[in-house]
Amino acid sequence: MKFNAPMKKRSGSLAVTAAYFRNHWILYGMLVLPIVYYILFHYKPLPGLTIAFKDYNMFLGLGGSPWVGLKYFRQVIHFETFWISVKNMLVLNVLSLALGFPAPIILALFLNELQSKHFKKTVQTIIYLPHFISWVIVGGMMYQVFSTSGLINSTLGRLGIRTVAFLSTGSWWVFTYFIVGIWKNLGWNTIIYLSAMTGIDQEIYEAARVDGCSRFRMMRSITVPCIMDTVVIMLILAIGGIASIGFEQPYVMQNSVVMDVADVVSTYVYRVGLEQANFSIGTAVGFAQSVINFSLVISANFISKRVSGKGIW
Amino acid sequence: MILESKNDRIFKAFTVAIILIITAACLFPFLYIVSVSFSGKNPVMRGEVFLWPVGWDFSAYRTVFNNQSLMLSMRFTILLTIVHTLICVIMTVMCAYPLSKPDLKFKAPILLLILFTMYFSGGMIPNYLNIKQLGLIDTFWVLILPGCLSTYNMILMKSFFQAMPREMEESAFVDGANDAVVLIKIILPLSKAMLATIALFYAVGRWNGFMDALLYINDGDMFTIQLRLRMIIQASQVSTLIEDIPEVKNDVIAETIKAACLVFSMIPIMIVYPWLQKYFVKGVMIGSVKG
Repeated sequence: MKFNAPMKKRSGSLAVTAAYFRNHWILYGMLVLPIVYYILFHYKPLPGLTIAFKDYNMFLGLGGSPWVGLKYFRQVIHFETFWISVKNMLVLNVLSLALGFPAPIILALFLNELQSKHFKKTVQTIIYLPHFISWVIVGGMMYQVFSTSGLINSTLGRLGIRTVAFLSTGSWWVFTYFIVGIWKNLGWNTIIYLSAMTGIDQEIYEAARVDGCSRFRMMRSITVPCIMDTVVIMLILAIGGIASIGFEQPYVMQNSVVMDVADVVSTYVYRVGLEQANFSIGTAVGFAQSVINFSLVISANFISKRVSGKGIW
Repeated sequence: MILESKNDRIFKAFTVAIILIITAACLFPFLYIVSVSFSGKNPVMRGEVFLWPVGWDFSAYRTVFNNQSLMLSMRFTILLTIVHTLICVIMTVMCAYPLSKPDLKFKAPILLLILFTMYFSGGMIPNYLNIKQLGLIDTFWVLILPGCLSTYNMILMKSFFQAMPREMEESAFVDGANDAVVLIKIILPLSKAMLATIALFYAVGRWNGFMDALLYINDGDMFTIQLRLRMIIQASQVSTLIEDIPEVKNDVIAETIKAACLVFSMIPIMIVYPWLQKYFVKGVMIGSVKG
């Protein structure tokens, strides 16, 4: 609430500043531990990025390891497995965006139509639940539901339909990835749209009703335009995140048979960089991704500000 | 009251039907694994179990509760979550309160230092090497300190403090109170709901998180419940899990035990779910209003 702030004192004089510190040293005392935290766990690792440009040797340490320039970047662009992980990340993200982005908006619109408060509340309680379950548990449940002897296949079998290898054929795995992702987040992602809808003036609906507007027409011509701002911001932010992918969902869902569609950049860095101890290659890939991702988020925010006057900061 | 038209009724029925289908889809996997965990091994193998247990059998749970390492992980993770949440909430308040003051000197550079970390990080390997250099690998504190302050939660807390009326604290200052007294005696008692929200954010994050344990913990005594669960799920044979009790080895198949483990590790979340839902929704709303 910036407008509550008192006028900035245009003093600038040393005495005033000194007096401020004397009166409010406790505030700075409180900030010591948080700042130490940020330096220790967020800034201290940054010099480690130079590993990407060095032949890292554990015994020589960061300072002692020799510089090799872009050697590892040059190496990694010749690795087929690296490009596969980039491609998979983009495919999974683009498809997740195409399917996963509109779904919560539509569900929120439908939830908004419910007149019984009690029913709505019950539905919300149930659809938010998957959000609170860890990816490890979701991964375990996925095996129970989608494996060849799981819930879906045994039901298909009972109906006389051929079973589907959801987890071991590439295209079915990708399909399962979306279903699981949507299952976990669909309900939860409706909240932001529902809260945008509560801000709509009820009188608009009243007026429309008097004019004999159908409910579907009201949804299309009142609710949708009123939440468009939120939709645009969420879309821009989602597009800004296209070059990054979480670690946990792909990690718990992948298996050795489907690696050519399931390996993504985050799991690639983990596997090649840490498990196989190629620190320089892992850092190089992570660094390149950080830079690309950082510029995408910044541009997304810039566009969001231009389009809607709102940004994330 | 205007009578509903036929079209409206069709539309309403359609939306209710879609919502019911989605709700059922959210619920079915839970019902299914609970049913599997209480079922006999043969009905599960034959795929007869759907949404209700077939051939009631509690041996899977007997296996789970007799498994020392799983129970150890459970106790360890509960302790870890409590300590982590306490430290996180204190750190968040200590960071957010000074930054909520509009006239704090050097506020802009401090905020810049903090916000930058939201958008750029060293990445997995520099972070790993940093943790290693700090000597934190395989310690209790590695699961607490690296995540003991979330910038997102701090910003939430900060905007909450900023929205509070400043008159009360100003009168306290006139009475000679200092910043610490104002924070503890006036601000925090008025922030209980927000503190609960933040605490739940941290607690759920800690309970569900497993990437840090995967990277930094090799010592089996410090496996969090999620890491332990991951290993159980991955293990193709269940023999590692039930070696303590050989007599059940031939009686119970892996699927029912895995299901029982999953259900078991969901219990704490289910217990706090009513509060979770209430406070989390509030937190997300505050976050969205702010954004």
